[in-house]
Amino acid sequence: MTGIAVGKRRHWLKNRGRSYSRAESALCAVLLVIVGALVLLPLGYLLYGALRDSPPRTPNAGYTWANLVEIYGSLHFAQPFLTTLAIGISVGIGSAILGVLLAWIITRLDIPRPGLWEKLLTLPIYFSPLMLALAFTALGAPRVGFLNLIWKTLGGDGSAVSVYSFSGIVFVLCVHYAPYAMLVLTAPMRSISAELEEAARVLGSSRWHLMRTVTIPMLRPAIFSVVLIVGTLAAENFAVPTLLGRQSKISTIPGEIYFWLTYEPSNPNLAAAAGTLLLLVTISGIFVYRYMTRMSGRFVTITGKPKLIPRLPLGKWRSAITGLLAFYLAITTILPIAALIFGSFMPYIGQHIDFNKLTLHNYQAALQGENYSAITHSLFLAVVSATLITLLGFLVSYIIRRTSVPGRGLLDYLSALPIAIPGMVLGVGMVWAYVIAPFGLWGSIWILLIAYMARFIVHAVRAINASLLQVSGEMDEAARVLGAGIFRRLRQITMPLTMRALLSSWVLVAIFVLNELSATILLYSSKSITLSVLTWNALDMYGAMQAFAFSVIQGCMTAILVWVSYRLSGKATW
Amino acid sequence: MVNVPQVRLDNITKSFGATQIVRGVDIAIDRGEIIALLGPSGCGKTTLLRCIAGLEQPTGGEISIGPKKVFSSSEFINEPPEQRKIGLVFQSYALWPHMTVAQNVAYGLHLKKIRKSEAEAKVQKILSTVGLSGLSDRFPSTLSGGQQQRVAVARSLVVENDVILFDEPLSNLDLKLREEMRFELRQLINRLGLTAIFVTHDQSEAMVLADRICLMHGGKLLQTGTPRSVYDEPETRFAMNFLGAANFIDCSFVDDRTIRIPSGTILQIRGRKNQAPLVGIRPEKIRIEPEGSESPNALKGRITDSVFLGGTTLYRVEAEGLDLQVASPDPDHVKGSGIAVVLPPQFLLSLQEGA
Repeated sequence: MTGIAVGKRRHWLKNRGRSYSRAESALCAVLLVIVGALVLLPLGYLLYGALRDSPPRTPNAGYTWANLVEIYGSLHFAQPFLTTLAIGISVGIGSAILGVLLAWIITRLDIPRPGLWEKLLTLPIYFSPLMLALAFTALGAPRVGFLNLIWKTLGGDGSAVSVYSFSGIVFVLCVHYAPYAMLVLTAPMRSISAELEEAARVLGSSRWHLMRTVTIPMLRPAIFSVVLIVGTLAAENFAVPTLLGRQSKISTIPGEIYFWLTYEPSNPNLAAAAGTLLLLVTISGIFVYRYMTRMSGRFVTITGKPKLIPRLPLGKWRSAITGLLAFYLAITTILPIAALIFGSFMPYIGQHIDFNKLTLHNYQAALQGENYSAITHSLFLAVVSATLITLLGFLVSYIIRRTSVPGRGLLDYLSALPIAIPGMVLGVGMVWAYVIAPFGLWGSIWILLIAYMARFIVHAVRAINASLLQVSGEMDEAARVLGAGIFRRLRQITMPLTMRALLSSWVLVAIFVLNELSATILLYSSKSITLSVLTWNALDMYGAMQAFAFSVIQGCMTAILVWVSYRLSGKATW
Repeated sequence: MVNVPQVRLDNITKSFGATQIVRGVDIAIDRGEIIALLGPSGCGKTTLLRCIAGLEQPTGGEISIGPKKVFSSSEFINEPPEQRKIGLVFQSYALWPHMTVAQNVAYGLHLKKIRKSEAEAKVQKILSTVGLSGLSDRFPSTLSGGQQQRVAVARSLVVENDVILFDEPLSNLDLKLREEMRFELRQLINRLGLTAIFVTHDQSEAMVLADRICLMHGGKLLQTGTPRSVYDEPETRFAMNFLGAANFIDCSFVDDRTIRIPSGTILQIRGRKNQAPLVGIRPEKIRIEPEGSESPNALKGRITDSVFLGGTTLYRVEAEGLDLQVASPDPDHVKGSGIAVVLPPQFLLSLQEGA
């Protein structure tokens, strides 16, 4: 009796804001355990691995500082560290510059069909970094890239371009992230202008003066945050610098981690120690980013009603600007993808382009045996992860946004943490955490599912949070007052009302899962190989043309999902 | 039989962090009574209503609905809203856009495990009661504001709980419709014999709807009573001002029934109630008489402005240094003319300063 009374009292005392039920706090507790285990376990084991003196499952192993000293205290690792930073900074700044220009052109200038241009320019975001790297290899590899073949046919000497260089790496990553920068910047670009710019115009500012004195300063916080977030993402990228930097011996932290784990003699301890360094880099990036966005709340003026701003009439410059956009689209999207597709029909890398030798052989090989099962693994993982992650994200988001359960702040924090954890770091942490797991979990397809859940839950939570903010909480309360419990309300009220966000989160996560490489490459086995890993391995095992074919197949799957998501976002609701 | 109140609030307090939103409210509401929680925005009335519904947990106090204690800070009782068996009509109506009118209304019935045929009959009946027969298959977004409001009311009524709460139910309707709906809602609640609590910031709405007005300010219950008693006998400057137009006169007391206004004239009042040197009178209680009137409490004055409002005419009168509003049925007084204004002693109310 007293036990019940004490429990009642404790529940009551904690219940201080909006009333919440026991079912809500139980759900929150379960979610905390799940998300906590997904996210914290790999991080804990990362540190553990960095402090051990020998690989997992070694008898009589002990603790040591040697790995951390090797990474942090000696100059051996300075080169990959500085290269990683240099890539992050260059790509962050480069993408921001491209993003400002593109966003300005499509929101403020009188170009034909700005909506369509916005969609077209966003496309590279959906291609995986590996696919882009392969596509630009097809186009610009020294000697054998299509551009260099044409250059030679025209009588040129040597190679016109080479993507196997630091600038090649930065260029490809910029192509991937510039659309992201553009998307982030279009919103503030649209909202600040209306009143503020009109106010400045009334005072007699010229357009250029206006851009310099009002628009750019107003956008400064948004631009800084783009530099930081894109820089962080670029620094942790594995596929692009590792693929394009191999020939010129350019190494980065993610690349080093990969080599230490997969090539003999392997050194998982050093890999874990390097993982902590990469984690520090990304966490500082994200930390400063969050600080900046909090500060920028003072500047960014997002008003409820987007006002239609008059676009700057271009006159005779209209076709020139449109031509510029078309040129950008051609070199960043159309040409590389065309080269990739064309290359996938070629039997081998040649010194000449010979249309008679085109073959379907690469595709036939892709659909056979182990390769075919990789495709089915990827599809299975995309569907199952997207479903589970969206469901989990929905529950997490509901607890965060719709209840006042104590612990929901922690849940919010835990579910957002993965944005700061690079795939490579998650991978190493999971190697250390799960290599000893029972039930044959290690090496199975389920380990990949766990990795994807940890990696992508943040995207589901964000998408659904945004949608829950738009649905009044009174919809939920109305059902509650009528006597509906939490799970009935989730199913019958909140889920149908956020269905569009759930679907777009599903599509988004499915795309991310299809394209995931950096954690997968550390955790797959022959039983669980995926399409993205197959693409990566094909480069060494079967040659570039086979890799192109795998990449095209993966691209087609992504394209279908992107098409579905456009259809969904265009559909009107109640 | 002892008369047990249907809803009883005992010393309810509610704080968010350091801010006190509700500061010790006691109300006992009888079965079949309609109560209006009236006050300006931020006075804590909506928070109080949400505490009754169980959507917010009070910081302290007790709430009973019928014979059952649903909240008690000393006994650690806090029934969740889904078990309190009350109806709540939201300001936004909170109709579920993915369900038809009939599905919205039937939702609570399905939760009560009522048989399908019976539920359908009840839905049709309540829809015809609120005047929405024939719209049951429509979606809420295709209805007008007034129709949506009726659906929200029907959804709360159909489950036949004894207590129903309304959070500013009419504030999203246009003026004409709002005035119609007031009477309609009142009749409906009386006919069904329900106990109802309305939250509103509109004094005329409170007057039409409520048997009793609970005037709130700054989280406290200022005054309760029938609409007439709250209007006619406000206790504070705030109460008088919030319930309608008012003239306030700073004065000094000569004795408990006599005051001196700044010009030095002595006036009789109804009776002193507190120390504050303040009296008030409503514009329609002031009489206009010919210049030189000998009536008691007459002041010499001059009409400085007049506005014809149809049923009454509103005059602005300058009288012995006082600037008074006078509402009179007689529209014929001319601006600038000299008159006398009579402030009948029984309508000159001693008031407390502030809220």
